[in-house]
Amino acid sequence: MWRGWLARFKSRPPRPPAGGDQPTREAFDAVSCAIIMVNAQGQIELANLTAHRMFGYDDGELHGCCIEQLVPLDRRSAHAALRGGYLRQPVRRTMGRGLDLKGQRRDGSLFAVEIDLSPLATSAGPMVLATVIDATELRHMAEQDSRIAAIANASGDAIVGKDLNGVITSWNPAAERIFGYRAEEAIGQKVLLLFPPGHEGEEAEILRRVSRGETVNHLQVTRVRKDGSLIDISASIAPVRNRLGVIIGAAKVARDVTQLRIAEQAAQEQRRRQEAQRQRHVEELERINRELEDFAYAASHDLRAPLRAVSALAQWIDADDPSIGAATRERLQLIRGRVQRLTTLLDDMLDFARAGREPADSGERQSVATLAAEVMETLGAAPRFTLRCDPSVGEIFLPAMPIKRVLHNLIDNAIKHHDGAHGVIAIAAEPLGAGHRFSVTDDGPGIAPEYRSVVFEMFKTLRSRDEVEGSGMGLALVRKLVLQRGGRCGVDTPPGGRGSKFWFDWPTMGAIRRDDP
Amino acid sequence: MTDEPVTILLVEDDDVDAEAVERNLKRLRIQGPVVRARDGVEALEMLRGTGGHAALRPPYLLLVDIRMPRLDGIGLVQAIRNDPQLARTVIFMLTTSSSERDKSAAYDWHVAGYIVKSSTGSEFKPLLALIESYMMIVTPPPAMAAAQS
Repeated sequence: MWRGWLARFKSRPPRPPAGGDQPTREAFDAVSCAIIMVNAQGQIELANLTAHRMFGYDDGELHGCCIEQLVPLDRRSAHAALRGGYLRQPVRRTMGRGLDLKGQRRDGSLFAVEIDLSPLATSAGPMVLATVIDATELRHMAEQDSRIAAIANASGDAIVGKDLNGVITSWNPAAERIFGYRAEEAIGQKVLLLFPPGHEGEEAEILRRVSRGETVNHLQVTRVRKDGSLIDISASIAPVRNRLGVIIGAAKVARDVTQLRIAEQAAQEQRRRQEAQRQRHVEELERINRELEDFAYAASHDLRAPLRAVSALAQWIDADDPSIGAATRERLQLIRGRVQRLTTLLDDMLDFARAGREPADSGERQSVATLAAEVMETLGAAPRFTLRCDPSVGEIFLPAMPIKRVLHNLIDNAIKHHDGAHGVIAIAAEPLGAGHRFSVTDDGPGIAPEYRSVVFEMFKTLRSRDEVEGSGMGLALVRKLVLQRGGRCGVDTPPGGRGSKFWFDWPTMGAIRRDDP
Repeated sequence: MTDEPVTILLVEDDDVDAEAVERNLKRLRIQGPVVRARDGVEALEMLRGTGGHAALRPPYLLLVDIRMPRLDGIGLVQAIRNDPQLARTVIFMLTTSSSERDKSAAYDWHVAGYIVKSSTGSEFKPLLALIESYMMIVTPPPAMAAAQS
């Protein structure tokens, strides 16, 4: 029938087509592939409209042309030779044999083609009927496929394709490695193969979501390998659509995270152990602190009892025995003075040990200037000493304790060590970070630079205790209290060169100011 | 109020401390007798009339130190409060301990007062004057007095 149709077609002049054969001719032209009939001499006997358009010619232009005109220049002589051979041994040759064939358009440009050849015996002699399709897109898709395949092959993650029934359609080498099944074992099987018992319900849910067009990301699931061992995988599953956009399956990318999870568990265990150890250290430290405090308390209490007795006995000798001389009385007095000194030392030690154990920031907030004035009063500083407060100091309201103790120690030192008949003690504050740097400046004798770093140490005094009574604990206590608040303290020479300027950092965030509502 | 002089039972292990109290009481011319126990155990024996001691005749009040061998001051107060015959005894703590723990424990067991003696010096006298005033003004607990008469 085909042959008869062509024979009839051939018997008519090709252009313009005869009116009676119009429908046949239209059908011939409407075919989406190019149809070219070539005679034994290589001349084009017949070419449809698609052939003309495909190769860039006007309709009818190809008739009578040599077929080699449509072959790339460098292939023309070879093509002519092949054509001769084909006519001697004509067989049907179909498309899709993977030959990288190219056609040449009228403008000289080349394009990929797939060609189907059929020998044809006609009344006009043997012919070859060539059906040609433009393979540009096909080749492109094939390239893309092979690229994707290369990626899938090279991937360290399992890449598994499945259809909407959950049947595996593709299986890359990583999937073989991770799940233990070879591609030929897996493809065609239900993906449920990989599900541990009791987890089959997950697949229905995944398929349901994928069918809706959703991508399921970073699913953490357990799957079972061919050898029965369980593995943890992290999987992302995306719908696969055909060219019409219809979802036809799913692509799953899965990573074996078993080692990762084991490592994570180990890290977690490590963290837990570290935290437990840290907690033990904290408790140990708290215990040691408590012990130290108990020790300081017991020591000061137990040491004080015999001291008190010594003092009492000295007093009783003095009071009960009228016969003792003035020299003995003076010595008894010295005994009592030394006892008093040791008692103060013990009190200050206990104070130091306890510093910072009181509840922080409790009590009423008071102006720092008021606190300083109270300290001056307690120390009986007037009228020899004058207190001068920077205006900002009166604006800062803080809980009285423990800043009052810091001020007390600094002002006490300023008074105790002053060498003049009159003195001025100046309190100032300047903003610093989340607080203020406070300073207590005196106009006393000052401290030589080489002693400035040691004055804050425990039991350090710069003058004989017979000259200036002191335990050497005052500045150590100041430093401890300041350090507890994350600050620093130190001593400088004030401008003018006389006296000492003791400064310390103190948090004042949240200090109530006078202008607060 | 009773006309009978109040006996002071001083529970104190330190001889010098005990003498300091006795000297000050003497100077205050406090009338009643002062007896001394060296620790909590001896104090209980004197209150109960055991261990070779004659039972102390009421009215009496106790001045109790805290740190003592065998039975300390807090332990003694507990023992007294747990003894139905002695439960209402008037007790003052007279101690060098200013520890919060000791103060809380003492008041938890209902002492009449907690006095911190920082030294045996002159400020010791007013403390004992307080005791003297207490004895002159405050009526002793009736049950204790009634039980013995």
